[in-house]
Amino acid sequence: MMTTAEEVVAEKWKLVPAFFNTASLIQHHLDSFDYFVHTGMVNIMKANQVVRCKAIPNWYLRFDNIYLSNTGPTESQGMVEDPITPMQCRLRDLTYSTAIQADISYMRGNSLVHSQGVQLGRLPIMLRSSSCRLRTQYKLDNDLLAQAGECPHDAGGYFVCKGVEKVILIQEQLSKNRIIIETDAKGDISATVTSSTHERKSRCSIVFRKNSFYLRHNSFSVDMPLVVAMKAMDVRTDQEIIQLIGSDQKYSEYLAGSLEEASRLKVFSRKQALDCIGQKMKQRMYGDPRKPHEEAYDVLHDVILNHVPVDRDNFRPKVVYLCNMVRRVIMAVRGETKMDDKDNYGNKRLELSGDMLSILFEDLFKKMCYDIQRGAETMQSKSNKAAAFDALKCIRPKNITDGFVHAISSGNWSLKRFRMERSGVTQVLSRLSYISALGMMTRMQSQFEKTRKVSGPRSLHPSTFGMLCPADTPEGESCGLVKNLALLCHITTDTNTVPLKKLVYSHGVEDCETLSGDEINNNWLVFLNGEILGVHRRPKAFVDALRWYRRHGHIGQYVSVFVNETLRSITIASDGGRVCRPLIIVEHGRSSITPQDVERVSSGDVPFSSLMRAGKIEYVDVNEENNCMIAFNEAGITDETTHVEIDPMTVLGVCAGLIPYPHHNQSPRNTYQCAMGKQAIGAIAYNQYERIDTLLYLLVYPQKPMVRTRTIEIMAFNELPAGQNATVAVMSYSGYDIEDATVLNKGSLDRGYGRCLAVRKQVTTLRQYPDSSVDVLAGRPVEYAQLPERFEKYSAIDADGLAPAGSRLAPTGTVIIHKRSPETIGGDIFPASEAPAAAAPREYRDASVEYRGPVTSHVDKMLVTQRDDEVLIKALVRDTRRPELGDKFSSRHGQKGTTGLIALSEDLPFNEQGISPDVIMNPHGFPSRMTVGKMLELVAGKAGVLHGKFGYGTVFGGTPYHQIVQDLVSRGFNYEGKDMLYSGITGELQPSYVFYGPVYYQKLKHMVQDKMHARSRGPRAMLTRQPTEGRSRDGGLRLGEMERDCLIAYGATGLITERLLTASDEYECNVCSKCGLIASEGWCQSCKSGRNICIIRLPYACKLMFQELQSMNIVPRLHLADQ
Amino acid sequence: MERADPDQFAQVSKYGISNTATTSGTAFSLSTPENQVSEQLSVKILSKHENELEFELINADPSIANALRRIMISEVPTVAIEKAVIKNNTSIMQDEVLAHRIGLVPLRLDPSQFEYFATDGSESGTELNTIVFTLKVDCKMENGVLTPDNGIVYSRDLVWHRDESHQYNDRLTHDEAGNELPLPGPVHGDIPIMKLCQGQSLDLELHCVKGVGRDHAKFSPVGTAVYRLQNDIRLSKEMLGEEKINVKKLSGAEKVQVKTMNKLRHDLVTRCPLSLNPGTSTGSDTSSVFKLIETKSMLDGDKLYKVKLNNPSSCTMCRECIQDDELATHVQLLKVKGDYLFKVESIGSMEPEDIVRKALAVLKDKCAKVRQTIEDNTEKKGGAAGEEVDDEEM
Repeated sequence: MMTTAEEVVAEKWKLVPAFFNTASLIQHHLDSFDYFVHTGMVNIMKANQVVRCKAIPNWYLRFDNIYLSNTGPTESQGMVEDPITPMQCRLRDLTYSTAIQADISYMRGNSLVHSQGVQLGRLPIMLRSSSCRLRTQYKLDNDLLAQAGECPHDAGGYFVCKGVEKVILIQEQLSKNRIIIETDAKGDISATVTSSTHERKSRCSIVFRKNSFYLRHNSFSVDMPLVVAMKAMDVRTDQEIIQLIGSDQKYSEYLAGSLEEASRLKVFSRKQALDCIGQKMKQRMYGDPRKPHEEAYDVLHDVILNHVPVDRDNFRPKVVYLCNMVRRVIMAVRGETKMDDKDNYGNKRLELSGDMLSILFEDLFKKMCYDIQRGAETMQSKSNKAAAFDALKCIRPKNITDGFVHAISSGNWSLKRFRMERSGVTQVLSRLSYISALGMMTRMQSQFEKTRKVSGPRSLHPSTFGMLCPADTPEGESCGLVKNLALLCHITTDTNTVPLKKLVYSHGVEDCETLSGDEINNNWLVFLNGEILGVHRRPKAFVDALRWYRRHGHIGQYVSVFVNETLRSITIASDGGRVCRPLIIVEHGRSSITPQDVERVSSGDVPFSSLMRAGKIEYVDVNEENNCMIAFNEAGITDETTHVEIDPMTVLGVCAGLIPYPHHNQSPRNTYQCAMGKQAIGAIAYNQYERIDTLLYLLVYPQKPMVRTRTIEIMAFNELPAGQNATVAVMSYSGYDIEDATVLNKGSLDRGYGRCLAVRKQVTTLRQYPDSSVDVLAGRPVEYAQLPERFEKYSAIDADGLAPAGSRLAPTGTVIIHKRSPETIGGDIFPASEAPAAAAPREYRDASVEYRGPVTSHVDKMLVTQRDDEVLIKALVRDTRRPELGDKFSSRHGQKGTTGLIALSEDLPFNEQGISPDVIMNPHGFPSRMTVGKMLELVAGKAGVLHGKFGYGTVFGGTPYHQIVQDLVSRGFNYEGKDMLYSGITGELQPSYVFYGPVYYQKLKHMVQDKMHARSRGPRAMLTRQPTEGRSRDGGLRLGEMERDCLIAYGATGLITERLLTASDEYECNVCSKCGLIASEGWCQSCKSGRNICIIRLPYACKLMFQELQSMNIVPRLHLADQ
Repeated sequence: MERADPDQFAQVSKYGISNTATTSGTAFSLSTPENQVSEQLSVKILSKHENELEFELINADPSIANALRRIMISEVPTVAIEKAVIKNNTSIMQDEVLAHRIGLVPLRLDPSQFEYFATDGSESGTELNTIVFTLKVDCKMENGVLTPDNGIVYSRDLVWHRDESHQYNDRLTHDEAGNELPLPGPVHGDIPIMKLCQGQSLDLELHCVKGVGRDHAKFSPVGTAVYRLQNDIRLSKEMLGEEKINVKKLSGAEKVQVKTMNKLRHDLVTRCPLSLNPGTSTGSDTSSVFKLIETKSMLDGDKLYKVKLNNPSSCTMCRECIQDDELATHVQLLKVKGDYLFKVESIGSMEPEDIVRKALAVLKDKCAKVRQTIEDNTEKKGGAAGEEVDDEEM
């Protein structure tokens, strides 16, 4: 028996790649979008199915069905829909979208008309979703994808909106419809619920304050006494209230105050209660004025705890729910339970792109319905009706199309109906490296404000184990608020609760409807998605049954069943946005996965999902994890164990998965690497040379890392690497390697180490103006033939007005696209004097696109295409860079450094084999950083090189050190990885051994060429005449306040005058010494005299301020004294 | 064990190497009188395989050996492609990347037939300083196969552009004796430069000039030129196990001693990864550092061994044999200062002996230049002229 267990331990990791054979790393985005397209959209349509109009009683319009057009994503060319691919959209700045169509029945005149396939608008399509052409037409097949210009490793999950790739980030929020016990602003204990349904969102709390309970809600101007609210909800007697909350003395003793307060207020009947509430209502701003008690009834009925369904006048479920809240407050007051941990991940829900689109679509759809209704009304009010009103004319597809496109491309979700004003919902997909794009798809934003100085939401919560990557978070203000999903984390989508409810009731759950308060409180409450379904007597049997059903596929695999012992409740959750992860089920102290299972699944004979159906692996969410005993590995299984991890490596996310031996590193180093891996230059995608991006950095010779991890293989970093295996000598050399600087070997650079391409886009459009004039392209000016030196900048231009691919572009501003625009635009659209066709030849001015850059570049590619009614021209400009002093490099262990010296290859030390290092790293980088993983990477890589195989540095695994040592020694190398070196300068043997071997180095995007900047003279700002700011404007370097303070303290007056005046905005100014005002040249307008004019020097900004003050009726006067 | 002479040997130990510096007064140090140095200095060729030459330089100061190494890497001139005129390149490889790759292809050209190309731009290419190659490939699909060579462009596609108007063509095709030489071209024809797809084509004109490795690694005539110091391994007498033991006359304590020593011998050889281990098949017989030799005598049924120092120069200095403190007392790892085992790996454009010879010539020039400068300066100061130069010392 023991042997099989050990076999499983060794091979179990194969389940992870097997899992990703069928699912993508970003499956959550795809699932969410698909859910929206197939279910969400229909639900929204059903909720707003019929449009009616008060003015025309028998008119109506009904949506029968809503769906995406079966043509797939298209480009609309008037009447024709042309199929498009994502790559065409990127290149041509189009939106990758499909038409939304609806079947509509409506009244036209007196007849009912059925209309099929009416276009409502266009929905941007998520790449690789089930509505995407890449899946429907190209079947995600590598060859077919290549034909479509797509990279097979691209994960999809983003949108292409106006040619820009946009990601809708995952948003983290507090759970809706769940009771949270917390202390409010005044320190009182309260139970808060944020109710959310399709119709309405509201938040209400029960507060225990001054010995009595209150119901707090926005629509009440004061806190409402609980008993009053209960009575208004048709609870007749005080006895019933006590019974519902708990007739046990420990509960009832807390209720005395509340009951007294109600009688003090003279509230005994329902009528009195409603009147009492009605008086304390906030005044509504809109709608017809109504009687207070009716208003109170409506608020209690529809707004408060609106997620609990109220059937006509039956308030019973709401009352039971409210009483449960009170019970929980009492338990918290008594100290039986603690405050709920808001940071617990069980209390969080993740909002994905589908949810965000759903909210947006609901808003747009309602707006459209409103437009139809208004159209009908205006039509009715018109006196002469030539034709019967056709409602379809009121549907403007542009509204929905633009609504989506605008929201996604700007990232602003501003929906007045939900009082929602969110910006930064979408981000441009970072294509700096393959990892950065992939990392973005697993990124998650918290709704917390970045400015708040709280540590709770930022710190790593234990409940996120296995769900979120513990290493991958940015540094600085958003530290801990932006998180990343772990490898196997799954985010659920909503599931239908109707069959689940039926099942629950058929397994002995009794509806509270028929039960008295005592019966409710003495049994176990059963919740489904925050709603009380009823009670059950035997929780263990019930929960076991439900879990059995889940493991055998009778109910959804993502349904979670959680027993809360302290609250004596069973929480069943099937809602969307929960995080969960697959775990291997352990029964009777043994893992249910056999080596045969692993073998069958990893060879692809059976799909991974078969293990789910066989009840060997199941999804467990954060709450249910509290009922589980999860072993880290087989060795840790005890009798109480319920689950075991599939593989410990899945606790990390994609970015941290790159790091070899991360479990040997100091933890912040892994976090630093997660940030830096995204900046590493490498291969971006197989279609990288087809793309025309604003800025792209590509490595000329990317290499697969010598030391890999299983995660690297799963996410195909191997195929699109970002870095090179450099031979590193850990030693000090030359003194140009202090403070993390590295020394590079010139010979290596000559041979192509660290060489990269920078590819930049330049765009222009040829527009058509209202006066029928157009922009044109032109060849070289005629004068070029005579004066090629003067018209040098047109040298690259061909006869078609474009610089052909391969043209040299000098930093002096070579023209790339010779565009000429009409000199005068506008005026009369049709000049009165002459017909437009016979218009005089137009004067054109040069509107060329010039190359601006510090080095010579080349044209890589030119794209001329049509977009709407413009001609779009994109030029791709490329330059090749060899590493230079100051370029930034980093290993995979958060060890970044700049190049301090490029040493001649013969000057570098060499070992007995004659190998000299590519990179020299200073050993002082190690002690304080404690990146032991880097040392292990080096020796594992060296052993790998010697044996012709890759090393493995998977977390909590990898090639063990004793194996590495054996491999090194067997090839005649020192077991520590230390080599004997000879100095390349003196030729002598070096007295110390040097740690020497290959380490994977990343070239980071920060390069000197993009940053170096100096200025002596240059442009000045118009208003202040001070030098401009910033490198892009050739600006000056600011001598700031602190620098100025230093100079003042030192007494360097001359230097201050020179920096702040002479080198900045010195100005000679005429001043009247009598009145002290700024005068014009030789004449003081205020004294009407020219006698007392002096010329003084002052900063122009100073003169400007005096004049601005004067314009505000403040007179600054200068008192001049003789020098 | 007795200590090795610190002037002659560097001592390799567990945590570092001592006595690495060259002390003055040794036979090979530069402070030794010149003629004495030249007498003792010697060169022994060890092996030569194709482009690899191994030789031993004995009794030289490290500065001399290192100068030789450095010059071979960076100052022996070769001819390489310097400028690429790209007339057409419809492949996916960028012009700069293609040019960089082609530049690194080693060429079979005798640099002595060329002059340096002035780098200040004052000079244009002439037949004396430039030789032109062309690379013209059109990739087509023929019978379902990409031609030529499955679409792969190899270095053999670089073709010498022979301009008949040049009068020096003969120098490239014939040697001094008038024998025909192979045509100028790449050393290795099978270096893949890039892959082409159907319909893609290349048309390049490549200008090759003479240069040195200091300027760019592509001009370096060697893959690497390197030396290491000769090893000297000393074993204690007990380790060698040469003294005769009469097994039968041993006392109990002596028996234990012999047994531990025997085990230590066995340990030494099994630990050494470069020794022929009795148990394993790694390591060849000649390159084996130590050898374990069975003696005829047995002790309590155990065979007794002695260790033979077989080939110390193949030791890679992994220090496995001195990791164990007990063993370390019996083994002394030494590096012989002044005794250099050179390895010159030519990239193929020149014979490795030629590279060494030319490097020596460069070194000689340098020395002469230094000497000349000193002489010039001393003359100016009115001092006496320098001694006569004996240039034949090397």
